[in-house]
Amino acid sequence: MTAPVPDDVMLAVRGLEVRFHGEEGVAHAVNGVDLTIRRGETLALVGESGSGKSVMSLATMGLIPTPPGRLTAGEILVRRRDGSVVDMRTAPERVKRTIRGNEISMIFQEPMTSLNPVYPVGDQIAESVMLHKGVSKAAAWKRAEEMLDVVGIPDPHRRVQEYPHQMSGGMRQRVMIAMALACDPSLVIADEPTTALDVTIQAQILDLMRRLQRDFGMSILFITHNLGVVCDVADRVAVMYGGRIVETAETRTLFKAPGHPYTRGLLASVPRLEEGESGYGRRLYAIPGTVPSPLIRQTGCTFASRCDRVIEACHTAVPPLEDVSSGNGLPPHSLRCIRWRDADVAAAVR
Amino acid sequence: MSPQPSVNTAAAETGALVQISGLQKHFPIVRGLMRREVGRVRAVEDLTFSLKAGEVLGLVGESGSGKTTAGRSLLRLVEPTGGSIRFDGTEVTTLDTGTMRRFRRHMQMIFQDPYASLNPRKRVRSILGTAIDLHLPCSRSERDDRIASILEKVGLPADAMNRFPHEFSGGQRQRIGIARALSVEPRFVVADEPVSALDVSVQAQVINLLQDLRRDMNLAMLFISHDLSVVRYLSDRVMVMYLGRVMEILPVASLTRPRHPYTRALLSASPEPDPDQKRERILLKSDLPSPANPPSGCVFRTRCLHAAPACAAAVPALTELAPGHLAACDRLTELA
Repeated sequence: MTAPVPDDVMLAVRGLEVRFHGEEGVAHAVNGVDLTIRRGETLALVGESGSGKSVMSLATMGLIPTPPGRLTAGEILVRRRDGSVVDMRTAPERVKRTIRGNEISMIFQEPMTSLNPVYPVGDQIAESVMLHKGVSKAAAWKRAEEMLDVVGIPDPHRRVQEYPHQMSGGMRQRVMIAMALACDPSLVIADEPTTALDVTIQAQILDLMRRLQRDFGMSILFITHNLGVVCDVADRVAVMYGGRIVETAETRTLFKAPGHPYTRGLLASVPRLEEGESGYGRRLYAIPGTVPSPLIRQTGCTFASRCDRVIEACHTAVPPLEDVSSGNGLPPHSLRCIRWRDADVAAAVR
Repeated sequence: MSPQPSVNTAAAETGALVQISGLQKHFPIVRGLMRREVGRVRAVEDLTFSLKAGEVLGLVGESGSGKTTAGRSLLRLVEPTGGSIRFDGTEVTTLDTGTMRRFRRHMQMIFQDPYASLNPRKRVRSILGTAIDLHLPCSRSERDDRIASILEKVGLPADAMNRFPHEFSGGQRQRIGIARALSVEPRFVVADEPVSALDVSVQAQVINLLQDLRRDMNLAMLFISHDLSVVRYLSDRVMVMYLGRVMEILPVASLTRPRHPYTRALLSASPEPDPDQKRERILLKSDLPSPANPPSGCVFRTRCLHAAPACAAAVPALTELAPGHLAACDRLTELA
């Protein structure tokens, strides 16, 4: 049933579906997502609110609360340190616990609320080291101090004793990163890790993550809504809309030759600093309408109601994710749009 | 009918609608039972600028820069602790509470969070009607007409007035917030991060709407944002603040060629969705110092890559470098 996972693939999500059952009905948060991340690669998962991108990160960690959530189909295959592959959807809780925080770890958006205010940061970093590595408290604290140094916190010997409130937002995010990397994970899921930070601090943190990936060689699933950040950090990009991947390509291809009408619209609606002499008075492209509610089951393409190229057939069936680069010797580029063969799109993506 | 405060038109000759000079806002830090003042947070220091009718000034800064406090002080939503605010020739800082309240017809505010800034128990009719009743009292049907017309202007159907805020999406709520500010036909609006809470595709809709409205209503605006690229689409000039002080004011056409080291760092840190755009990356050291204990001299010097010992001595003055382009840095000639 399970197709083999190539050796260099660290995470393979296949046909994943996640539903949430609530008073107002069933929310179809993730509707058949396929994702692959290779060793040492950064994949950016991009989407707006309600696209399902954060649900993807929680599902991968095996952290979807059940109820109300349910993983109704698909597999989440994770490559373990010993080379074996485990499905995070069906694995027993005991196994998942040895993986979480150890082989896969997570960096959350809000360093203020994700750190425990009543313990020194050293305790919080040391906790997972003691749990997963079975070392003494003293050794775990030493590791915590080392990690603070690695993430560029000055005077780590003193800082390791401090509480989260004694640190600035940027420092706390560094602590979060130290905590995530303390057990030397092979995959890090970063869910909007810089969204709450100022741009000058964001630049510091992105720089740090890039350096750490070079030194530690981990794979990163980078979840964000910020296309500028994507362009900065990602090797490949997957664009998510309405619980589905609508386009995936190498970063350069995605920004230079976007094919899906949603990706094109999104890129056109980003305010830019460098375009033309002055943006003053110039119009931004605005995608009409809003993201559809996940409570309403769509029969066709989820983007059809906002799309400027919509035709009758778009409403009848969900378009498949098709490789549009085949036969050109180009890197893979996939689109979920039945109109990709239109002359202008086909020309753009080739 | 409540009397409208008279507005002096003499100032029209100088061309400035809003004139701010030496504006200052300090918040006391109090301790103990006696609420003894032990220090001050210097949120805004010596803010000076002017705005013509219909002109938009973008105000950019990171958290803790004092940009929100500056915007609120202009409307006296927080009381400034010093300086002068003149609107169309009238000194605003000395108006009594009642007069100030009526005066706000001319000066309105658009808030950041479309979820927190609308009363969830009130229908849109009542949210917009409160301001109209206070400033432009009229009959019930005239009031409904006015509400319908402003809703149409911001791109919402007239029957939206019968609905509650929770029935709208984030972008639509922000349109309601904009309609509320504009329903009393102000001439000056402070917009505090009006698009920051919105998704990119919706953000573009609201930026375009603000462009239309400022043109159609000849609005002067202080547009506050942490995002340089957003500011660029609406502003004639851009003012950059850091730790309560203005670092640089520049025409929007010069935005990609700033002179002040802080503006340069800010620009280089703003990620652009273009793989060919390889801007020189300037990484600033450390974090923002506390505004309760700002560095002496130039407040930016502790993070500045070009700081010299002399920078600690005196606060650099805003100096004009080119028409409309001012920067507060004593080392500009050496850095150019």
